[in-house]
Amino acid sequence: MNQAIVFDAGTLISFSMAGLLPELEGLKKIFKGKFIISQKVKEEAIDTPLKIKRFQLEALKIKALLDEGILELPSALGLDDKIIRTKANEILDIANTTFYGDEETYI
Amino acid sequence: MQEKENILKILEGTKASIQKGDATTINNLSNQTTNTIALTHDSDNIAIAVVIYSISKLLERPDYQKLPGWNEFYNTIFKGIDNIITSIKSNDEAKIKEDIGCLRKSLIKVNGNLKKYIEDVFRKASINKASKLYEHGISMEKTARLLGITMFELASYSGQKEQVSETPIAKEIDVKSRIKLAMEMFR
Repeated sequence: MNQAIVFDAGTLISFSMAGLLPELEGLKKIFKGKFIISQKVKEEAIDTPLKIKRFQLEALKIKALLDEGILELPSALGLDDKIIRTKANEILDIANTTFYGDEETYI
Repeated sequence: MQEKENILKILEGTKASIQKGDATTINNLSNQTTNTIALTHDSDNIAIAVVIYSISKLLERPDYQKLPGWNEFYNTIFKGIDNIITSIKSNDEAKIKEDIGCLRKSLIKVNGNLKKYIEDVFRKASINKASKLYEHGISMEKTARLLGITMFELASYSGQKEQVSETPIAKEIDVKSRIKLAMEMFR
């Protein structure tokens, strides 16, 4: 069975800003599977920042990982992006309804 | 709007502090909305937090107060806050939303260089408030969307601040255990 890790945009952005993206290349070598990003994550981590001069470099670094095949889109697994989104929403729903606080709870 | 009483107290405090020129108190008042925003993601609370924080930052700069258009800006703030206070007291939800929108729009209607500075302060205020919200454990994506900024802007600002990684919630698991946990996923 194919293994895959689906990356969130926040993770990639934090790695990119901290200069840690090359670590993903090393991790890809020891991981027997694919690193997947959804189309939405691609928009947030690559397409949108490429239009903002200040963040172009970080976006280009993430784009390079996609171009090199370190990161891949769901089509690499033969999956439609919609399936990833639906599954992500399902998991989010579970996560967001697992714990409830009292009325007087403050963060 | 969530927690109207709290917002009313904050707005009345802000109005009094503007008259005294006390930017520090206004800044502290803007932070009092963060808990509510983290819990409810209420857009009116977000707008109020950003507006109040922006006012505190603008009042901190005496050089802005010498620019043409300052008096007009000052009067707009006062009138805008008064309108929102009246709407909250009369519990008119639609009017509250309308007044908050009007205040935000009218603040950037000022002419000249001041307009440019105010827009800049507003943008930075949104990023600052997003960072505070992110500190409370709301995801980067959700926070950026709520405040209308990019995730890169949020990551860039939060990365410069020690507070995010130093909040108690971020210290629940030590760094070694985090790395160990992460590495298990790749093997």
